[in-house]
Amino acid sequence: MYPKIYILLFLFISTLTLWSAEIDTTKVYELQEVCFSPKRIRRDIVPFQRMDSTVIESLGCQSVADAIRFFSGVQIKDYGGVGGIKTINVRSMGTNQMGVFYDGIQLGNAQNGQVDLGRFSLDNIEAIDLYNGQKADGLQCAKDYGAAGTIYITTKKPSFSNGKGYTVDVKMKAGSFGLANPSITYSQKLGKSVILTLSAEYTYSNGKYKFRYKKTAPDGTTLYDTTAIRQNADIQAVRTEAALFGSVKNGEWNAKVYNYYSDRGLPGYIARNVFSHSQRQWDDNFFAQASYKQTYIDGKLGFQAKAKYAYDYTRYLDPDSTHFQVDNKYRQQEAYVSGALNYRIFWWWDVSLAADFQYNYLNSDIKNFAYPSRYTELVAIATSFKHPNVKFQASVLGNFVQDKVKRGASTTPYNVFTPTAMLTVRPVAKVAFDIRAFYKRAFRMPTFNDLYYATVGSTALKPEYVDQYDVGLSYQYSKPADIFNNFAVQIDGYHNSVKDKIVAIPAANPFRWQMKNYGKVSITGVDVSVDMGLQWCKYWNLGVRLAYSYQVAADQSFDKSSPYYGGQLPYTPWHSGSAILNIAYKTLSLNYSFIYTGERYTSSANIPINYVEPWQTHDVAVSYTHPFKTWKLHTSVQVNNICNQQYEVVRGYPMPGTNFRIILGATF
Amino acid sequence: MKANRLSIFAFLALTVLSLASCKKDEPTNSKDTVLTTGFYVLNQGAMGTNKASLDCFDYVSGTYKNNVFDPSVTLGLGDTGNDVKVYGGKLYITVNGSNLVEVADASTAKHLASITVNSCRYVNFYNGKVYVTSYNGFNNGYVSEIDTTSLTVTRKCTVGVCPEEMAFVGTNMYVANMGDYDHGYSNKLSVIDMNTFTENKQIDVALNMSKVRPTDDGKLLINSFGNYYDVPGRLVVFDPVSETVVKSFDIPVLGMDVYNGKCYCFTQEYDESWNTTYKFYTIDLATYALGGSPITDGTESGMQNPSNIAIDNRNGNFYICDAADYVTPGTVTCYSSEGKKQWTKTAGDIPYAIAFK
Repeated sequence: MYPKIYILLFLFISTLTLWSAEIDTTKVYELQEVCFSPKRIRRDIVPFQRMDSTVIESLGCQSVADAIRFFSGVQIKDYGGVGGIKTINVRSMGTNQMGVFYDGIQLGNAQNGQVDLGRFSLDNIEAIDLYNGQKADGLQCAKDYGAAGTIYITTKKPSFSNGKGYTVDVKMKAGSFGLANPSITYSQKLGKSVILTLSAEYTYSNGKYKFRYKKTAPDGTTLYDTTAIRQNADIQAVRTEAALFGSVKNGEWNAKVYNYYSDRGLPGYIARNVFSHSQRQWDDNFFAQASYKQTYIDGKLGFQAKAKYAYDYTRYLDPDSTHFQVDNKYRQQEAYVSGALNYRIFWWWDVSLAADFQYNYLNSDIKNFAYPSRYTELVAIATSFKHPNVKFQASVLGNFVQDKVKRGASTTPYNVFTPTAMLTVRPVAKVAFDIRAFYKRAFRMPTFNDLYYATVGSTALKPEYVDQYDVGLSYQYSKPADIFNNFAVQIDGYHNSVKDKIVAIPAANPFRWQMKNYGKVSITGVDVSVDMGLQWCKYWNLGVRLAYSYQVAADQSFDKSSPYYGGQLPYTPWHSGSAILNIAYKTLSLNYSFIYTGERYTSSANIPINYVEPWQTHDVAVSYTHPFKTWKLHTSVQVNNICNQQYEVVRGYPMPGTNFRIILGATF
Repeated sequence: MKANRLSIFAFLALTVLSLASCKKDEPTNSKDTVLTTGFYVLNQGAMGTNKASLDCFDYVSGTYKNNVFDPSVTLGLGDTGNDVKVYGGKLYITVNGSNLVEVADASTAKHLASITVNSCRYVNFYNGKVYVTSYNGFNNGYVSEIDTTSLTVTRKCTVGVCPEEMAFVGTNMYVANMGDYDHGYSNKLSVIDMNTFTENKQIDVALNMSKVRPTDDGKLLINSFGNYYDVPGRLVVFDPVSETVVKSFDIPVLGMDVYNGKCYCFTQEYDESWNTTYKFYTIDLATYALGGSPITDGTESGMQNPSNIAIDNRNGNFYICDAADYVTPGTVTCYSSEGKKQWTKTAGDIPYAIAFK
């Protein structure tokens, strides 16, 4: 069996290896100044997985979702293509339990709780961080204490290495699926302490790609072999962004305006006699946000304030008159403010307080709509102790949620307290070997759709809870001058239990689904990630990054007498892993990446009819950066899925075979 | 030392690259089946999963076989099976999501033809022809007539919005129209004159009807779901002669079948949390007395979500499909004519329709 061999190889490699997080060609051959956001040293109480811009740029990835696949413990639900929806699920706790933060403030979706990470381009991303549990900064919003798992997306802050007061970055990406993706970023210094950045990006793809459905009889004869072209997967999207970064004495602030517009076809599932769909969706997501951070009393007291306003418009159209024609518009509004204080009582003892308030409203033109609004108040108190050998943080988050509706009944208000405790022990203060453990309880409110969607929602739904237990080891080694200059390894064992999981159940009439607190899931797993790097002969760099996950996600929603009790959750592989290998000479770099997802089932009934084959993709990218007068030119060629693997992440949604991209960029 | 480390890395790099061997396709199992006497079970499969499947139970061998539909057919039976019936040695299966009426051999379950009929729902037969109801979105639906020899659609007749089951009394076809949530549920029963295959009239009967079953005395039993809000579901007895409802039972019937002057049926009721309860009844069609469950050993308490009931009119045994939790395979349970449980077998996802052969 292939999968077993891969697993063994992975384990073999993991135990053998040594490792590097930063695959950084600029380290030795200094052509580009690293931007002024400092590289974070992994001294957090909670270690996290990070992918920075150098790694991101070396991969042939289009969106944030594509990059996140390389983290351990992550599953992406990918419906295929540039415009296909891509949602993230960490350690099988469910997409709705994930928090996604964009430049420090959470992206919300009160309607369905899901953030489509396929919409976030990697064009201007500085880093993507994944935290299991929560971040443990002293100064953080109450929301940072909330989600069961969190993704932080940080955009680039400009650098002005050319000695001028401005910098321009232009890029053109083109390739398979009719992709045309130009972008421009302009940054300007405004006085001594303020920087303005303007960024715009246009994405077009016709979404067409060939896929092949093949079935072979046990005797080897071909039962059928169909090649078709994916239809109605086109997308047009425009992203515009403006940001101001400022610094004041002992403090900093930033403000941002973001808009994303898209018009896309929804390619839908492939079934017998169904090879195309005609549904379309339009989205317009706007937000404006600002943050301010300041320290007082020689840094002993920290203060932070954040605010955001978001407006999201979605139009869904099913023009097919042989179905139920649908043309619905949804408008969501969100207002959010947060304040946080951190006080260092002694050098080893911090206390923190954070309070957030959020308002959400959903408007729609669908019949008998409830027009729900939600008021959420969050208060977090936290304390942390730092000793050279022991670090500890404990926090309690109070969640207070009240809903109001204009039609029908609203759900009862909920007041829920969710605690977290995190401990890190470093046996030898000078050796970066840590033993850590955390416990966290997270809760999520049912979404507006769960509660109020016509004939589907149920206001009697209860919130969903997750309890997480994690024990891990981490070690890192860094000697910048040495050939073997970087190595880091993290191993975590965890157990999560999800209670009152909110699940949609289709009723006897297939047009009527209903939301129920049906689920109970017990997840036990291991995540391993290894980074290493080495450099030699002045100009050569090698970086390797490996991730492996094993998990048993037992669906205990059924009656214990059911043969399916304890079955592995749908679309959850037992084994999954990834590898990135990057070799660079001066600014010429070759990158190879590999992703493996093991066998899995489309249902918790783990029976042959629901079996989905393992898949793996191999991607290769070559990139070269060279100076031209005062300009810096960048060229990259990427070939993804070089083995032309025909696969599906979600059954009925075929993924593209071999595809390529060319990127040309200039910075001046 | 440095050279050593380098060689380790070279080895690792090769190891990782060697993983790059491309994977081969895996063979799939298939098996044939022959049903002499017994019944077929059509499993719906959830919408969008392309998992409609066909099972059968053979009375002679006493075996229940899963997935007996012709394995050579591209992508299987299709998406969302809705109805199956046997007629003239052929199986007619409406595959709603795939917009197909699949015609298969009733003995071997081998594919004979597939006829494109958009949003097809139920199938029935009259005078050597096949009739299939179809939704047409929010517009009036229609009934298609299929010739059993050429296996093509010969005529169409427009009816009301979202037509469901059909029944024949004399030379008329009666079609239950469901209507839709957005524009209001329908209370119309369409009457089609089979001599001309045109809709004669629509009669107001009950809101949101689905099943229409003829009784021995020429009446029609029709279930109505109400509007899931302030109009409750019920079961009505319709007299096609007087064109009036002659009896109404205030029970929200989901599944029913008629045999030997009796109707076996079960109701589905929701509370505000969408928790469902099911109750079984027996109705005497001569006296309209509402009696208790046809199940006499109390085993209905073990059912999760019954989706249909079918009585074999050759022996009075009856079968109940249980959709279980809709996401894992359901079951089919056999009851003797005395209402005693005989056996339970695992079916496919959402077993729904049963066709006796």
